[in-house]
Amino acid sequence: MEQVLAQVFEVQTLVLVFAGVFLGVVFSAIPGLTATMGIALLIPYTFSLPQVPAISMLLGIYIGGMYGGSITAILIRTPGTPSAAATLLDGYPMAAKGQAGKALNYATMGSFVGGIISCIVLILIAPQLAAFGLKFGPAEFFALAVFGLSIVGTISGKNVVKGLMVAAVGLMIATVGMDPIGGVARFTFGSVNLTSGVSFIPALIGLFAVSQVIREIEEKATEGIKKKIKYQRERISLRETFSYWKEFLRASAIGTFIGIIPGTGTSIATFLSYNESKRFAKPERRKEYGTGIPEGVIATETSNNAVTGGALIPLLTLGIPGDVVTAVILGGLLIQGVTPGPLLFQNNGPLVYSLFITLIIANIFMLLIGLFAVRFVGKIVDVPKNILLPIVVTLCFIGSYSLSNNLFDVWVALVFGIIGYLLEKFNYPLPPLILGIILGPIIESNLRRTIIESSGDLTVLFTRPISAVFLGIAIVSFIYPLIKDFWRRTKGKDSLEEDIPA
Amino acid sequence: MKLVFKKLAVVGFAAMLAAGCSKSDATNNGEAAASFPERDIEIIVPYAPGGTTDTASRALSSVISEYLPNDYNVTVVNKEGGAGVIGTTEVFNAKPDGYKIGMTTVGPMTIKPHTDNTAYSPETVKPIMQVVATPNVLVVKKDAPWKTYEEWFEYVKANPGKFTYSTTGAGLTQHITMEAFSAKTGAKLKHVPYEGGAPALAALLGGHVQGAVIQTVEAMPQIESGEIRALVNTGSFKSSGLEDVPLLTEKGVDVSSDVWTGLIAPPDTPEDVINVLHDSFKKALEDQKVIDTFAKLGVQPSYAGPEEFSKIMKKDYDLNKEVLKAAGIIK
Repeated sequence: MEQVLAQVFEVQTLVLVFAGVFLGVVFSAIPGLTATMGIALLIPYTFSLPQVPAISMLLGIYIGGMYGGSITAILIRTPGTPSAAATLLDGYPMAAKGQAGKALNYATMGSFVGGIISCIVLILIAPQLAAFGLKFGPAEFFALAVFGLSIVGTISGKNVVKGLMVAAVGLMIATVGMDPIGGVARFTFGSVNLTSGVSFIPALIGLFAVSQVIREIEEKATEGIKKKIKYQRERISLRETFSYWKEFLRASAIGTFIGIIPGTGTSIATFLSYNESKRFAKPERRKEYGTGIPEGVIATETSNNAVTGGALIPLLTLGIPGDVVTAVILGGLLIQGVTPGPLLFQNNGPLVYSLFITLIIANIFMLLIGLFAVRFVGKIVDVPKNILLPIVVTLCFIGSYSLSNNLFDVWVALVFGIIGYLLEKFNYPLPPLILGIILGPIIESNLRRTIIESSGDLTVLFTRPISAVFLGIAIVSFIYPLIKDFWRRTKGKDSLEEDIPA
Repeated sequence: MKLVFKKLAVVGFAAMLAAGCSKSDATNNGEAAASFPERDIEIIVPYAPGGTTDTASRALSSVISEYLPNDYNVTVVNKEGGAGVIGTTEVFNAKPDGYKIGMTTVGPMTIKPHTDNTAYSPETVKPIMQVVATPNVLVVKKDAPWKTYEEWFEYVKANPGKFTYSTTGAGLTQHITMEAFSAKTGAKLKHVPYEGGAPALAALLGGHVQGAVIQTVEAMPQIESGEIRALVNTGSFKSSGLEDVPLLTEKGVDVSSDVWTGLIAPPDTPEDVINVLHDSFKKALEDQKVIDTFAKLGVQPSYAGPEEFSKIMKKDYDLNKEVLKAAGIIK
């Protein structure tokens, strides 16, 4: 153990972890640059480093990368990474109300708490949980994704019907590209660029950031409004933070849980967490979701960092990466001569403990960087719009391009920018579109796999317990509002659309 | 449609980006290879950063400046999408001056030309050399009733359509190899494609499928720990650590294909430029640092010169055409 501590607390290791976290924050804060890319680019650099510092640095980027996306999501409504897509639901409205500092602080605290809790879970019960994650087969994934789709009501604001329509469009967009089972190209119109589908991150950047820019330009052109938001440096007291302890715990649990299941991903975790936060809120508070309340930011930012510890569980104990980022980390581990898998804990015991300690240190660094950075980055909201907007547009297009060095993705961002602008103009909510694009492929490929494996017998969806539970909740979520509405009407009360829960 | 887009672009910001990008390609060239290279060389990797192809390319590029004349470097550029076709097409269309070359693999080079009507084919690109080759193995869980290939084969022959196996994706080498196996032996299997080796392995470990066909490197940790058992190797050679696992060809089934990675250049690249590139990369592949990195990644350096590499590509291209037809994927 002493040897482990000596290795971790070496100056080189600490410096590299810090550098890793910092780079992760920067990479994920810039739209289009992702933590995955950061890790991949640094792997060659780690070739020449000793084992512990090299791996520590990669884990540092991972932790920082889950947090950084929240900064731009809150300040300029541009999710730097898909994991921050749900953060702007309440994060940006908070900033628009002048509470950017507060929102950033909650995002930082949430990320820290989520990261630490999932890390503790990883340290204590990783092997048992890994076995649980494997129980998720096609039927379970399908059920989980359908459950995810039932969230549409929650993230549609007052326009549930429009939300459903938009979600359906999202599902349709998800069918573009190679058919996941047969390998046949669909709706690509002969374009090679569409073979792998509409690129998700450029679409995300377009929908939220580009559309926002178009809207602001329009506002300026038509009314010349000079809406000045003054950035307030708000400290949040520990007492205030702890008053949300339930939110922190719930989001941490959801994030860790989703992380453990290989093949899911942070965006699902954040949307689910947001939904549960709203579901558990008091009825009068429930209406305020989406208008800029701390609970919304805490729910999403806590859960996406909680995914980190969770996703490392199948990676370390089974050698199975849960998502793209952990797949890249797997590459980095292999380069260092570490083969994650069932034998890792036996063969590399001390190393595993060093990694655990590193993870905790990385989370602490992230907290420090976050709290320190808030003082400076928060001022972005004070930058005059005629200076800020061109910078945002430039970042959006450069980010879209650099994602896979493909100019086509810039067009995707632009087209989705126009779509996003038009949808919002006619009061169609955007988040359900994202949800549809994320969940579409999971729903489709897993339903088809279920059908192949059961030779067409769909009752397995309800005979397998995990899938039955998720589908059950999803069905109730869909039907409950209708029943409630019917009950209201028979009692002669007005139906309240915004009262619809998840 | 394209014209309309172009007109729009004139006012759009995107046009500026486009202009900025094409400028870098327009640098003059044309002299003899005596002075090649005169600036840095770019390798296009048609996949996202972090995969084996990417990491292997980066390992090579980390030492290449020692072997390239004039001390220039090689940078790796990821151009993902279209299952490798986008990046490979870019290499095909690049200026044939040796400054933009590409890594390509079985999928975009020998499968996609049949299914996607690509601009290139194995005959039209200039091969430089094969870099890596990895066989695939058929694995089952430790508690599966089949201990050997023979026992398993007897079962699948007797129970057509019962045995489910996962692969790294539809229409990829693993799938096509198994289709070829079915065509040759008449055994009917049930294919369940996943999004990659990791989910395919997870499906096997979780008991959602009975077998999996994945690359040896992905299966190794679980084979070593005894969680899964390799029944047969569907590749052309035995990779280290799996010497006891028989090849399909040894069992009398004439099917073998590996997942290979190799360097290609645009058509019409001058022969002497290809030679400079080939000689430098060959030396880089023999560099101890690269050998060590590859060993850690679990990939096998597998050299083949331009002619031989060309033959490998052609062979797989023809084989895949036959199998895709037999499986009803193409007409």
